[in-house]
Amino acid sequence: MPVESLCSMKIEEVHGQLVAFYPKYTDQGNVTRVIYVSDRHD
Amino acid sequence: MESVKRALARCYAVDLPAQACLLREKYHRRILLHFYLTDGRVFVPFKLRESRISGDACYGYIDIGQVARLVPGNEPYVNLKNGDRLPLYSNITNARLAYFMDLEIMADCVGPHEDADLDLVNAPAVLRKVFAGEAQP
Repeated sequence: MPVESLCSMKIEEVHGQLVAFYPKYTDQGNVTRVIYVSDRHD
Repeated sequence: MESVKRALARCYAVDLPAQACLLREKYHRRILLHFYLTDGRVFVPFKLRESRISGDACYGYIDIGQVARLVPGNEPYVNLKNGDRLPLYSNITNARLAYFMDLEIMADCVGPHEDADLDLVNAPAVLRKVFAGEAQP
């Protein structure tokens, strides 16, 4: 299951599933957005 | 951005400055932002936003294996295999060049991912060849 999240998590926890990371301007400011694939089913 | 890149490299014990130096020499490029990990993934840099402030990062990284297609047009974008679309802020030609550079790095620098189980399966054949070689004059 693809999951997208702001980079507040530890990269060490998702490094194997990391698909992309890129800079983004948001309401919270200048952040790095990370896209990773998770097996988690919500 | 750089902290994510460094954290990722740390997970795979990759020396990014040394790797960048090797890639620049190998491909005769003054600037080369690509990097790869020991598990076989190669990350390609794409311009994924316009900077509002000078010095802000514009480039993001995508695992080449997750790119489904670079879609041209007035508003080009990267189509990911998971269905996500990331808008490109460079022209499609530059994006394609980055993509092909990535393929070259993958072919030249990234070996097949080591599989310990496969090594065990192949072990008898390797041993047979070794002993056959020793038996011959």
